[in-house]
Amino acid sequence: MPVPDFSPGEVLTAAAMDSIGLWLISTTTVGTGVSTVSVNNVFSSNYTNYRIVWANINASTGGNLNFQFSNITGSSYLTGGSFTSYASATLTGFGPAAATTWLVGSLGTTGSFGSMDVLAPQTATTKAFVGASTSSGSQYSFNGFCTSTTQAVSFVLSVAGATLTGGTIRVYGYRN
Amino acid sequence: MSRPLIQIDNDGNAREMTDEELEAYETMLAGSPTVPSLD
Repeated sequence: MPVPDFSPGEVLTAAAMDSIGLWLISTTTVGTGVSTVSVNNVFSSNYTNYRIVWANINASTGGNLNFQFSNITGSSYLTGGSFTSYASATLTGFGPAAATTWLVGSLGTTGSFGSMDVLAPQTATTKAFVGASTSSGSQYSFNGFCTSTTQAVSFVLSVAGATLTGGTIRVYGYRN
Repeated sequence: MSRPLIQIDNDGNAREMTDEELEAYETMLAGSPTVPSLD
């Protein structure tokens, strides 16, 4: 399938539209001083896998960013990865016990960025993610597994002991 | 002391958590991974 090359006023064909691999599902603007941000009704049978991108989110104090499917609240989440600060060559690995959230990055006070691919969140199977994040002082690389087979449609982001202000969260679906 | 805010839409609007939401929030954080943050 060729890459679509659209022109102003062109009638778009189904073949051209079907060749687009990534579709924007939602854009969320993070409010001021919020403890949790819910991104609702983004996972559906339309897509199997998703990309979530967050940009320029500020935390009131630095802390780890937690991800939870809204309707999967038990200790079903496994995360592993590594992190380092930009001023250090020391790479620290970690793999905590099963938890109530995935740990998907770290947020600083001056804007943080990250992205993650969430795999099969809406199917009645186990789920997974791969991702990375960066702040002004550190970088984190993560992946994780969710043992629950409950179908998810929404998710929540939060930081322990801190609030979030500003930035955006975008969710895209990978066309099958 | 005011309660934590929960964002309620995609535009950044928020309100204080209800009792049920606050309990769910605290349960979620209590069970979240305890990995040091460099930030």
